[in-house]
Amino acid sequence: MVGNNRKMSSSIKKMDRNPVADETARAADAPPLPAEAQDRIGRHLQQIYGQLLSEPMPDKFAKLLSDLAKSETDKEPEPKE
Amino acid sequence: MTGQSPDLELQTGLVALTPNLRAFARTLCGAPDQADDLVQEALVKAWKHRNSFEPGSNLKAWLFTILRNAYLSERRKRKYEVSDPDGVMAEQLSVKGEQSGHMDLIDFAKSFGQLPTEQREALILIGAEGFSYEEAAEMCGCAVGTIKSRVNRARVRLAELTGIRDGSEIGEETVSTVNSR
Repeated sequence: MVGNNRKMSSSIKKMDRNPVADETARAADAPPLPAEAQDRIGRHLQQIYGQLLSEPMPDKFAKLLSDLAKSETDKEPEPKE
Repeated sequence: MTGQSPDLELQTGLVALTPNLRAFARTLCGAPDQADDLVQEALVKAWKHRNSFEPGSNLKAWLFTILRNAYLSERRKRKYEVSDPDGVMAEQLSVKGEQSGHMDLIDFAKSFGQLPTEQREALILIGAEGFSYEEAAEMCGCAVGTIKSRVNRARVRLAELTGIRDGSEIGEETVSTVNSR
């Protein structure tokens, strides 16, 4: 209880000066999810992200890179060679 | 010694990472066309500035940072919405997906789309792409604590929206979990 109050008052003080610390303090006030819930979320996350990753890639991207490599335009000046 | 020129090596690396770039771009702006435009923009920028990439360093992190900056500057010009209110990501996912847990996944994708962009971004970097907190913080130009805060808030919000928190989510996990209260 005492610890919580200390955290709260320090986060109120810091709000005036340091938004990053405030955000961190606020996160500290919110307890992390239990491991089981975190795992479940992690699995779902990886599933939806995995579906995005495995979408077929249109040709235009490989083509773009190949065109860029061939044209050699707009290359930033290199320090050596 | 590799016979490949650095340019060819980089080109190969860029092609290999384009799926990740596309997935990450979708995380940021939801709509597939916008995401693909972003990726093309990022690839052009990456190639133009290829001399600033240090060989042997983390190419994915470098690329993601370029993509992220491109997204932010487009957003500043108000080209993209901040989140995914129409559930574009969920729509795309409902076309495929396995039978078991199918509704949960769509529900999850919709909830994910409702998170603020910086929370989605942090969660993907840490929880899906496997970057460390330090790497993610550097890529996002913020403190490690800020990333941790965003990840935690994203998880808490997702748990609330999908009912994972109170155990009301239906899925094979619920059935098989013996220890839940």
